[in-house]
Formats: sequence, structure tokens, C-alpha cells
Amino acid sequence: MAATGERTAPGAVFSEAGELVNKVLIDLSQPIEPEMTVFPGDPKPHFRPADGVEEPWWVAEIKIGSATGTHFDCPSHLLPGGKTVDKYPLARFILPGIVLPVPDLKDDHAISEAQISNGLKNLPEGDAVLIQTDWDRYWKTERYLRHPCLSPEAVWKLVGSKASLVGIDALNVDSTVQATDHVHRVLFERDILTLENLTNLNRLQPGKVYQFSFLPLRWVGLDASPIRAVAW
Amino acid sequence: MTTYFDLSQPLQPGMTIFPGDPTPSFRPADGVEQPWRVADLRLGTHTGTHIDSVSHYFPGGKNVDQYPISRFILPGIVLPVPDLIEDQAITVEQISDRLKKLPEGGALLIQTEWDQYWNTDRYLHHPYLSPEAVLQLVGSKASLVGIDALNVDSTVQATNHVHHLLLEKEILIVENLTHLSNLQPGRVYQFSFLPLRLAGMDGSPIRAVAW
Repeated sequence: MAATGERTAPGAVFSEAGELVNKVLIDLSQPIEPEMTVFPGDPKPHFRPADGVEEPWWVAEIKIGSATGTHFDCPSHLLPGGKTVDKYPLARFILPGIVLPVPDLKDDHAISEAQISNGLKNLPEGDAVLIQTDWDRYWKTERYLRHPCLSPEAVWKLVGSKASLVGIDALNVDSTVQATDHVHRVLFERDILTLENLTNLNRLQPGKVYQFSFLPLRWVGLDASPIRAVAW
Repeated sequence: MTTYFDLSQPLQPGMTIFPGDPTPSFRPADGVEQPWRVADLRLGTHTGTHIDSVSHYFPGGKNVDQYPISRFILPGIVLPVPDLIEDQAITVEQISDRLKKLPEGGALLIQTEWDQYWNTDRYLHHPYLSPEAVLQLVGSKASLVGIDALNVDSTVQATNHVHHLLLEKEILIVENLTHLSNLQPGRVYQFSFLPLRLAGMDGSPIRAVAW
């Protein structure tokens, strides 16, 4: 017997004044599935029906890497003794921010300071900056690994902008094919979090301030977490 | 400044799980080069604070990735049911008054305080919803029912009437919530119960938050 009922929820969100307002919620997350793109060498996602679960119930066992799909990285992802994902207040993960498009990028292109500096003007301190490369169109293809990355000068510009979080719609804020780590290193040393494998950033207006939810699961002592990234 | 309330149990090896569910394990991933650190995670879809979709109980029912995200970010209320004993069936009388405050399509979170027994054997002997109480919820405006206990059904009696009646009407279920006592009873809060975008899965661990 299949479920027959229909329910809807308003998807409502509170305004600053505490009033309930209806907003459109936009999903910025890639699906998590066995054949998805993962970082080379990371665990491959695997789902199977759990043993020992009785009829009619269905429970699955999932095996995933902490940095699989749309995910958060914390300083311990790179820096020994760095903070883990459970050490941050929730306000670090539910926050305002902007999308900053960088058009016309090529394979393994290092995004320059000049390509982001205009878009960073007037960014309120502590907000999120999401770099839109449109590389999510290559998800699940080999080209997805040859995504653009941030140049050292662009990273310093981001540090100077006082962003608390830097996200990207690509596999990595560093270069994957050159195996660089300067972007993660400079950001993590200043406790700026990184968010990778976003998608659908082109559904948001460039420069407009949105509210984002990037809540990690409450893993104890882990370096990263898959997330459901949402904007409204 | 908005105050955010964390309603999620920590995920770690040795945590309380449903009897028979996969045991969570975390270990450093093989094949990851220095200096990077990545963990290999194994867990059940219903481990820790989690959401159930219809396919958890009804074969062929909707999976967790088949709902609009508006089903997971929604207003709702906490409904405390005080003085419960082990495996007690919550009655209609214990919930009916406060249900009137529920917003249309909102989340109703039953506060049993059983989260105080998390990681003890007593956590399995939690209260649950009687058939009459569930029918009252089905007749209400709720689109989601949550509880600060292992299960909305009775675990020790292995009942399934609560999941059956709620999921049949596409009312989603959130279990293993905690710290509901930090929220004021009956006041409307904003909740986020967003699942991971797990393709074709019956449920998902979540980070449950109120503000």
C-alpha cells in the first residue's frame, strides 16, 4: 500500500522584524549518489540496504567521505590541530552573503584579484562570498576536475574583504590538477571556512544579499561535513 | 542578532542507535595525501537526529530527495508532555489543547524529555504516540511530527501504527531531537530539518535547528 495523502508546508521564513514571510527557497546542493564526482582518492559513496532491519521497514547503510558532494571544510581538513566542524556556533553556518560571478573561465584558470575586487565592494563584514564559475555544468564529467581556482592575490583580497566563508560551484577552491593548497591554507589560518561543489548559483542575482543555510551534521571531531546548501 | 538553537544529537561512534541499525564508524580515509585530512564515514540513514520519508515504511513511497525543500524549512511549535513514564502511550488529552497553536502546514515537536536518557539503555524505553493521538495529529495542520526520543512508535513493543498513519498522509517524521526544553512551549519558531540530498534514500541524518 502506497502513501496516498498530500501535505504541503509553507516553507515560510521569518523576517528581521520577526514576521512570517513566504520566500522562495533555492537548493544549491548536488545530489549524493554512488556514481557522483568525488575528489581523486576520496572514498567513493556507497549505499546498500542495512542488514538486520525487519520488514516492512527500509533503512540504508551509507558510506561517504566527509568532503563528499556539496560540503564544508574546517581548518582541521588541512591544519594539524585545526578546528573541527562541531566547534563552531550555528551562526557561522546560517548567514547572509552574496554570489560573485566570474564569467568566461577556462580549464584550471587562476581567478585574479581584478576579477573579484569590484564584486567584493560593500560586502558586510562576516558575510559569505560564493564564487560563481558555472563549472557545475561539468559535474560528473572528467572536465569537472579541471575547474578554475583562486590565485594567491585573489585569496588575499577575500581575506581583506572580511568574508567569514568562501564557497565555489566547483570541486575545489585550490587547483586540483596542480594539487595546490595555498587557498585552503590562507583561508583556514584566518578561520575562514570553505564550501565546495555548490550548484545553481546562476539562479541567484549577483551581488544581492541572500540568507544562506550551510548547516553541517553534528559530527564530533571531524574535518568536514556534507551539507544541504540552501538560499532564500 | 538571531539566536539559533541546536536540536541535534552529536554523531559519534558508540552513540545510541535503533536496535539492528548499522553501527556508525568514522576512520581516516585511505588514499588521501598529506597534509589533507578526510574521514570515511559509515552510518545508517536513521542514525542520530534524522528525518524519515515515506519509503522508510511504504515500499514505493517518496524518498527523501523527492520533496521540495519547503517541506524542511518551516514554522512550528514545541508541545511538552510532562511526567511520562517508560513506554507510556501519549493520549489525545495530553496533546489536543496546544495543537490549536500550530501554524498551517507547520511542524509539531513532541517534548517528552526522553533525550535525558540518550546513550543509556533507558533511551529505548521511551514514550510513544497512541493510535488516538496520531489520528488527532493527522487531523491537525501538521506537515511534520518530531520527537525528542528514539521513535514516534514504541520500540520495546515494536509497533508501527504511528509511522503508518503519519507517512500514509505524507506527514514527515523527525526523531532523536534534543534540547526542546530550550524553546518556549507553544511559541512559533522557524525550524530547519533539511536532509542531505541522498538520491533514492528513505531518510537522512539532519542538523535540526530552530530560531
